[in-house]
Order: sequence, then C-alpha cells, then structure tokens
Amino acid sequence: MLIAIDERSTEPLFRQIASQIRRAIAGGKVQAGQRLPAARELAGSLDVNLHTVLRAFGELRDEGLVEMRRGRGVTVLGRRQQADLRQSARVLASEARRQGLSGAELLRLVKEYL
Amino acid sequence: MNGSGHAARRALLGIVLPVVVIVVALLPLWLFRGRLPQPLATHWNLHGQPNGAMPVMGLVILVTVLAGTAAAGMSVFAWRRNAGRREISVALAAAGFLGGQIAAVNWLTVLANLDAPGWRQAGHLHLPGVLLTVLAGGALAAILAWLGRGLENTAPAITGGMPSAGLAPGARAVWVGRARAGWVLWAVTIGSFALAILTSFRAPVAGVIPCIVGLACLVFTSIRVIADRAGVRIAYGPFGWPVQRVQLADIRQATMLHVEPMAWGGWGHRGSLKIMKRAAIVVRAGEGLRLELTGERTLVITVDGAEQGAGLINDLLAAGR
Repeated sequence: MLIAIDERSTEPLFRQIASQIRRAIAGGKVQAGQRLPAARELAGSLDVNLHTVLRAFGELRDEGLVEMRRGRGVTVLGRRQQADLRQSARVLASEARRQGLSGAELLRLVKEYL
Repeated sequence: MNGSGHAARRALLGIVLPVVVIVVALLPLWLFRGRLPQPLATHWNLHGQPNGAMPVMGLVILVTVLAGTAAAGMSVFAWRRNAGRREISVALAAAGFLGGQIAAVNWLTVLANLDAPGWRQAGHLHLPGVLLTVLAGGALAAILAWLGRGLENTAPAITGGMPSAGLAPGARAVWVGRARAGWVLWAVTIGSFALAILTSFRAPVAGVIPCIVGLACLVFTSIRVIADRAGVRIAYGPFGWPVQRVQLADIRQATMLHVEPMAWGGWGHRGSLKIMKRAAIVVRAGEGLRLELTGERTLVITVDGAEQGAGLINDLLAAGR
C-alpha cells in the first residue's frame, strides 16, 4: 500500500491520506483483517501531524471501511466494492470542483444517470 | 525459460553429473591398479589403524552405488518440470558436495593402501585429517558443480528499467507491505510450543529449547515492511518486534525478484550483510524486494507488492540526489 501526499494540492492532507488508503482497499492491496500501521508511525513517515492521520482513519471508520479499537489499532474490514464506489465518487467530486461545477450542478448531473 | 537450455541442464543433471562423480571417485583404483594389496583396507579404528578390508571389486561396486545414488537423487530433485533456475543450481551444488565427499573418501582409502604388502600394513588414517579432506573435497566439487551451471541461459532476472512509483516531485510518501508465512512455519511454531508444554510436565528445564525454537519461528510467521524517507524498516512477527532498519543513504537501488526459499538457504533470516554481504529475510516463496546496498551488499526481503515498494524507494533515492 502506497500513501503519497502533496502539500501543494488544494485537497486537505487528511483527505489525501484517507483517499490513498481507500484506493488500496478497493484495489485489494490491503485485505480484510489486516491491520494498518500505527497512526504515530504513519505520521512520522509522512512528516505530518498525528491528528492528521487520526482524522483520515476517522473518515474511513465513518465510511465503514475500517474498524478502530483501543489498543488494537485500525483493522481493515475489506469492503472492496464499497471502497471502490466511494473512491469513484470522490474522484468525480474533485473533478467537478476542478471544472467549477457547483454542488447542485453535480447532483443534477449524477441524477441524470440514475 | 529457453527450451534447449533446459534440455542441456537435464542431460547434465541426469547423465553427465552421476558419470563424472563415479569416474572421479573410481579414478585412483585404476591409476594405482598394480600397486594395491588385495583385499584393500577400507575401515580404520579411532586410533587410525586399519581394521577392515574389502576386495577391490567390492569397493568399486560400493562407490558406484553410493556416488551414483547421491548424484542421481539430486538430479531427480532438479529434474521436475517446474524446477527453477536457482533450484537446479542448488541441486547441482548439493550433488557435487555429496559426490565430492564420496570421491575424497575413496582417494584417501586408495592412497593409504598404496604400495602396502597387505591391508593390515596399510597407512594410518586419523580422524581430523580425514574430516578435513572429505569436507574440502565436497566443497571443491560443490564449487565446480556450481560453476558448471553456466550451461543454463543467463538471462538477467530483471528486465526493463528500474521500477518507479511515479512519486511527484515535492510529494511525501510511505509504502507499507507485508508477507505472511505458509502453513509449514505455523505448524513448526505450534508444534514447538506444544512440545515445550508437554516436556515441561516432565522437567521444566527441558521445555526451554522447544520454547526458544517456537519463539524464533513465531518471529518469522509474518513481517511488515515500511519504506519512507528514512529508509526501510522490517518489523518481525505478530508483535512487530524486533525491528530491523536500513538507512536510505545505504541503499543504491531497489528491484523486485522472485524468491525461491531453497535458493537462499531456506526460511528465516539467511546469510549476513556483514560477513557474506548478502542476506535474505524469507517467510514464504514468491515476490520479494531486492535492495542493492552500498559496499556491494544485497538484502532480499519477501513481501507482497514489492514492485511498488521498490518503485517508491527508487523515487525517494532519485529525489534525494
């Protein structure tokens, strides 16, 4: 699993981290039951604040992709399809933002395909 | 793998190698055929005095059977359809080692009998000298057999350029990979702990050794490899301890390779970076990361997704230069 972040991107660092982990889950690079590296370790490797990593983990937990337990760290739940869909939505949203679409306009666009 | 190269290797292993081993082993009997007593002294006691004899023809048959079996056994091992290049090389070296030892024993035997009027007057053989000669003969033959693998096609293991993870300039990154051992290592681990418990009932002290073996195996049931701007960290076992570190400054380049455990001396931590300049951390067969280090040293680590890991390490190295 590769996590790369770019300080010059407009996207917040915690989103970038969450996005890369999500992509690794969707791609099967990390599997169900596998434990992610400790937040402190990732923060040290990426030279970011510990809370940035914890916030990324929190986002993935809220999406139901990982489980966080005190003393056991973060365990991947391995919902590949769910992760894949979320990742696609994220890519779509950031592309729409880049092209200057408003939220309402994007929703209208998506509705056309439902 | 190229077909004719494979056929040549099979012929070498199956026919040439056993014949060469037998000829080398029997050569002294033919060279000194007029100068040997009949029967020959073939056994010596711990004081180095001959205490057993055998007719020359008996010795010829015994050596042929022993050397032939050793070389042929190894050939069969490497003959399998799916034997890898390294497996074949190892089988060749092992056959050479066994055959070389048998040949060395026969040379010693014949030389001790040289010009003796009867087998009881044969020369004395002393254990340390015999052991040294036998080991040297085996080692020499193993090296020769290893060199003989030149018959194989020597295509480089890595084709194409250095892997890259496409890290953007100025970006920061970490790569996390892991490898898990197959059931064999788990079976040995659990077996060792079971043995430790069982023996502890009889004598608590007796449980210590299987317990140590079990712990040593447990450490290699899984590894986690982390690559970042500091270098590479390898965390062993379910507790992520101990941790081995390689500084980024010590790495020259990283590539991916396919690891055959037997070619690296088996499972666990093999070799030594300090002494042999080559070490391998092997928990399973398959995909692995190869780190070329400063001072012509090589570290190999079995890990999933090694290509991406190697790519990031190369990118980090390029960014730091």
